[in-house]
Amino acid sequence: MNPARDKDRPRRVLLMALGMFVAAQLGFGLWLDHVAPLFRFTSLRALVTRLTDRESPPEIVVLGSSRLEGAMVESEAARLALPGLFNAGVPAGDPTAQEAVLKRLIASGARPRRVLVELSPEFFVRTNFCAGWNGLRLHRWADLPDHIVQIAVTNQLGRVAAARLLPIYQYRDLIWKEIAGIAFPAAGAGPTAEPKAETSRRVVNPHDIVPPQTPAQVATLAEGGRLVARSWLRDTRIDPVNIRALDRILAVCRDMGAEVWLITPPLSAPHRGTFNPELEASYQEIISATGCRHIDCRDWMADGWFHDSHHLRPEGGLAFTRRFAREVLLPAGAGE
Amino acid sequence: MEFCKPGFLAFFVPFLILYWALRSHGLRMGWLLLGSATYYALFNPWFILLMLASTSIDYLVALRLPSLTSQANRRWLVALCVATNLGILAYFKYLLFAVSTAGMVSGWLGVPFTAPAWKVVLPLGISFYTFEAISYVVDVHRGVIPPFRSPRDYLLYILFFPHLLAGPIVRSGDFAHQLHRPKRFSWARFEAGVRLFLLGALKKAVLADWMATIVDPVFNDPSGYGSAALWTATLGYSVQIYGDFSGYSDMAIGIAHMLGFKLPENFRTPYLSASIGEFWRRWHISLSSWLRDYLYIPLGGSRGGEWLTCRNLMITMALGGLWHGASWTFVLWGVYHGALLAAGRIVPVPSWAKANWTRPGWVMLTFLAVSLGWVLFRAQSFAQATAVLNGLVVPIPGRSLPKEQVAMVLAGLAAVFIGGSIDFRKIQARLPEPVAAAGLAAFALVYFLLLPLSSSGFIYFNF
Repeated sequence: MNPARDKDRPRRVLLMALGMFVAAQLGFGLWLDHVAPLFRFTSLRALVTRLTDRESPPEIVVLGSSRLEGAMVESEAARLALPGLFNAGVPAGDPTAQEAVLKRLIASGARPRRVLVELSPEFFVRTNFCAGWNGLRLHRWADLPDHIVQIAVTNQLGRVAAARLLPIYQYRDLIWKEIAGIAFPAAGAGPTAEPKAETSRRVVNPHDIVPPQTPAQVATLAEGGRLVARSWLRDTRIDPVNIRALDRILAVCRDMGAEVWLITPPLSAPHRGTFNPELEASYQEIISATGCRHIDCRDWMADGWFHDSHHLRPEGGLAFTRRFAREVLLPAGAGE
Repeated sequence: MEFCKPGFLAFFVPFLILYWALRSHGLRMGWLLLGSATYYALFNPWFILLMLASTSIDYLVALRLPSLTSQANRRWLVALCVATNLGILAYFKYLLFAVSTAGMVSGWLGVPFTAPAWKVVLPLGISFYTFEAISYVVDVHRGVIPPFRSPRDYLLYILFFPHLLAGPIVRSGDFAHQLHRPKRFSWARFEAGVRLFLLGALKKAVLADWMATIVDPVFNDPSGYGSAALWTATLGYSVQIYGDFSGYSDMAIGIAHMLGFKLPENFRTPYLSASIGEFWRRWHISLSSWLRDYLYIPLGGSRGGEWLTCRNLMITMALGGLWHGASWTFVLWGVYHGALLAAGRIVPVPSWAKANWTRPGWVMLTFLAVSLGWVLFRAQSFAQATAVLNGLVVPIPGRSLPKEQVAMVLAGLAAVFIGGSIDFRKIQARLPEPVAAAGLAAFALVYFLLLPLSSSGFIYFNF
């Protein structure tokens, strides 16, 4: 039949095109989930690259979020006779993300003697701010039932749905970078380790004198605290998702023979003030149930060291590393 | 929630399914009206009240007109109605422009003038729906069309969301009968709609938005770039504005097709025109025909000899320029085109130059003239336009653009010139079904893949 006269042809063409489109999107999504899981978890990809580039395997691995990522400066630890410290912090690295990081590092050859796990009360509430991040970089279809409530209450359902149903759209910037890396390898456009500012952090303020705060910094920290209370701690009911992830991290470390220390990272005063007594009690209960050593560093650093309510400035990171090494790691013989 | 954003699909797909699921024509049109109002309200819920207030006047006046026997009374009523429409448009669009112009003039004259610190927000689509409302009243007055009896039909004419924000400018005579005729779903029409929508989306997302990343830095700092970069950016802007606006129009026409409506064609490969007159018969056709019918012809058109024709052309194009934006650069852009149109009428062309073999040369010349005009259209100020035009005319050293960006502009030009002359409908109709389907799927995938992380928005939403 002449295609132009076949009245049913448009319907068949459209449905076929729709099928092809859906198949391409879902197929790419399955490839991301099962063949190239690091494609969308770029910070973990950078960690693996950094791990494999190391001359010797790490003795101590720090799992955590951007808070410890900026607060545990490897080069400074190495200067203090702790060369085996490997900072595996990733942005929004709650226990769910930490579990994925730990497993991938082990798969890449890491066998640490000690694992420092960053914890914070925000990780265990329903409005866990890391849920959206994990939905985009980590979760497969099978993970969604466990995490969907957190994703929904943090208003990330749309982005995560796009990541599941339209991955070619959601991850298009990563695809461009990958294509550019293949097309222009000399330009270094491919996947590379995220830039680290460690070289610029060396021996600044060696006596750790707390920098003075400007009024603008005071306001920034206060606004950060308000944001945490308003958004991240909007619903402080405990969600068991990250408790289970923490249990699995402990089990993996136990199997590996690694000792686990839990660290609550330094936080500014406005941020510390957002935890209500019920949440604090639940948090302490979760920690004590693990039976691990807990180092609570929340009030270790004065507000002058912070650039927002929960991230240290570069010199704050150096100061914290020095104090942590002096008071915790070196007495425990971690550098031996 | 612009058409080219995936969020629009989240609105449109459920809307479309229910639209066609409704059996009754009345319910379907009611749903369409509700959807259109919701779509507009999603941008700014308050502006819908302004639009309803403004266009209600036209509805009521048009209803009253046939019952008036006195021609003078009819004229007065229509004039009042048009003046009200233009007054509202002038307030929202031109008040700040008038104030800044007054400040400028008083500065020249040395008269002290303190500009009031007014803030006026431009309602989306006001230039478009004002022109539609005016043409409606004038056409009823001329007896070309009967007035809408049903407020629902009139509101749908104005609010119909595919054309609401940036055209095409629809005439009620072309639209009213489509509202009355019960719709029947047609796969062929639906496929045509999907194809047009995807084509438009590609023009916007791939051509226009990527060109913007090249063009914007150069136009924002023209003195920092050399002539080669300025030429690249100017040609890139020609591609950008075509991709942006014709892409929007294609999407609007495609959406209308999916809903069983036909909107007028707005672009017909305008850069393949061999004269400025032909360009305006192919570029933003719904606006240029509106200006012709409701401004140029009432001014006298070409009935009063060459000089009066030229005057009418200049006035029409200058006001057309001003319609595009409240800035003297837009007026100058309009005057520039008016001058080119007038020159096309009065400058004699030797007969050999009208031969078919000269057409490619005329096309290139027209494209060049149009592209130079776009500098005025794109520039934020006379100083910026002068800096760019100076660099285009006089070779100046300065930064150049990376090779990849130059290649992108060349590819964009090729896409506009070659792609514009391809009839995708005919090609697709001849292809085997799986290949045709794969082509459509590829269009959609490429669109989703190349959508920039942040879109610059439709240029014509600003008008």
